[in-house]
Amino acid sequence: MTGIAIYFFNISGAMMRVLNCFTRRGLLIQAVWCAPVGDRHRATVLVEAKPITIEQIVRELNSTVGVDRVEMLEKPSAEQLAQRHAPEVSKGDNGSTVIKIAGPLEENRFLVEWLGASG
Amino acid sequence: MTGAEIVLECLRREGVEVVFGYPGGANIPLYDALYNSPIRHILTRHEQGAAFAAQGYARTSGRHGVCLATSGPGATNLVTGIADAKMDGVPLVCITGQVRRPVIGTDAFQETDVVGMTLPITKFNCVVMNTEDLPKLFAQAFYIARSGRPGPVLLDIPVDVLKEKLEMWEYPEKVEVPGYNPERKRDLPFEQLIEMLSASRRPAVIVGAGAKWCGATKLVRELLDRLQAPVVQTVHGLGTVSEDRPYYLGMVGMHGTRQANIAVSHCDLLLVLGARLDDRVTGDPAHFAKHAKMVHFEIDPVQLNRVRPVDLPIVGDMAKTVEQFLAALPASLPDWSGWLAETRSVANPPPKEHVGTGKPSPTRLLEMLFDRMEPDALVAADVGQHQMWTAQRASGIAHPRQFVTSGGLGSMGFALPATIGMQLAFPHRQVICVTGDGGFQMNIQELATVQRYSLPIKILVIDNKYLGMVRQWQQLFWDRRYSEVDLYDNPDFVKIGEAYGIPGVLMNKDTSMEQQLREFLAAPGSAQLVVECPAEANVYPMVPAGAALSEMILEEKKS
Repeated sequence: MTGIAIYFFNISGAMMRVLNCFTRRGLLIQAVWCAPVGDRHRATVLVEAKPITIEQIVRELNSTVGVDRVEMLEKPSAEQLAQRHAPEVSKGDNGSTVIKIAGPLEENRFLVEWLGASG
Repeated sequence: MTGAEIVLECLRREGVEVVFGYPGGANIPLYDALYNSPIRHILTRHEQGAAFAAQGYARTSGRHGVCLATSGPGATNLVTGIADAKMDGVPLVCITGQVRRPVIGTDAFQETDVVGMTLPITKFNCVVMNTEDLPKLFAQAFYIARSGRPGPVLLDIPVDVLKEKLEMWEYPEKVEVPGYNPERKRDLPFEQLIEMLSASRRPAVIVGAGAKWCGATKLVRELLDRLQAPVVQTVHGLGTVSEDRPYYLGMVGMHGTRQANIAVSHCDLLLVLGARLDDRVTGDPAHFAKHAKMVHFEIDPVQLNRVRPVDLPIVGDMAKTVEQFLAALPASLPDWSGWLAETRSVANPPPKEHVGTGKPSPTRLLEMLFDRMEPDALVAADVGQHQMWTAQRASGIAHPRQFVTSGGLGSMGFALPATIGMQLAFPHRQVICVTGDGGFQMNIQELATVQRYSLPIKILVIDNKYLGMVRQWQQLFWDRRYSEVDLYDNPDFVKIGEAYGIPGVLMNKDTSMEQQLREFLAAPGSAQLVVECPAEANVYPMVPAGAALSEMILEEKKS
């Protein structure tokens, strides 16, 4: 699994152009996380592809209007990201929403805070 | 001012004098504003014709081509022209009407997501949701289209934005696009390049379209004169080097000359000057310049390492990189005259088309055309066999914007509308459309545009009553199983031309070629010459798809 972090300015179409660099090659995007980082956006894309294809994608991303820079993720980071799954959501007995988060609380502190929930 | 008036003012600020288009419900305000505008509008008979006409204008003039279409089908009809401009790096600005903002996303009448549809085939596109943004977006769109590797852009403007009035607006003096810096400075490894050049015993140069789009033709010519090494050109490079240069070996690739393909196959150092190196140029990439180190001058890093690893990339605008390279070149270079003589000693077999039917030979006819046309005539070829015959003959032309064709996307129907744009860009030059019976019928409606604006375009239809290139492949590689390529029931093209008010004649005997061609070229206005060619004439030489450049088929096998 390869992980690529793409920093781009969120101008019209930039996010879709970024993703299209992968999909136009018939690749299945395994996962993508995208959010603002300072005055830019960062899309972290996980994908399975040959090294030569990844090389072409990185060059194409670098030439895409709106893209500021492209970083390859270290292999362990990409693999760790690949293990990450969205938390399981279900209804509790009292009608509340139950979100099950895998792993130690420390590693999920951000998510817990973001949900406004307590540990 | 209304949004529509602002759009036209933005075009005027960008120096646009002519636009090509077709009106519809969602762009009526724009057409209303055009009614009193100094910008000339050319009404084509199909939006695809507008996109190709704008391309013809851009390809020959080097300026932006601008086309207009309404929403929905008007916009989708532009798509082939946009993809074509992306492949060949043509600065095309498309302005589409869109349904009014409140109904976007409701599948309103003639609504389509043209921005989503053209995202992969434009350098930039967007829906203009605020009238205030029009000036900034137009300035950005024009800048993006023409800078770096040129390409198409599209602005999709809802009809209520076109109608909305603004009290105040300003056109930006300076354009900035976040995340777009085509003029980024890079280290240029000329020392290493000169070492590679000095060590080379068999260098060769491929010249592509980059030189002309960077305005570097003169510099490239100067460089090639200094090197005196074998030089070949791609279809889009034609005209950068003329046939009077002793080191020029012709066009490279699938239908290139034997000398050109052999030189590239056997060189030990390949300098690529602004070429994409697509599969029609390289043949089997594993065998392309197999024993050579490769140096690639290229403005767009995307084009590097695509088919074969590059040993030394020189990324940047060739107007600068070639100039700096020339300055860095030592006064004395190795003598490659022996290697040049070796490449020149390879025989280039004359075209053998398996003719002798008494019908006009297409290659002979094109030979005569290029000999008799005005020296600065502009020629567009459509797509198919006649395109390659024309390119083979245009291989020696002297001006880089003289020959135009859809080389990357290979869009049939390109040539006739393209010549409309070419003639409007250069009203006083001779403009010739070379088309086939298949491609001609894909945009034949543009004869009406030729007639309406009294454009003196000379239309040469090579009619072999086949989709000739597909038939040739079926003959050579599919056991002559001619599946759905027979156009035996073509209409009478002369009558069709006449119905549009364009006089024409039929040429069906090789004995009358000379005289009919002279009369055709001398016609004061538009004219059509329909040439009935032998049905099974083939384009040679030919490198079969996927084969190495050195594995050319030179002539017909005796059956």
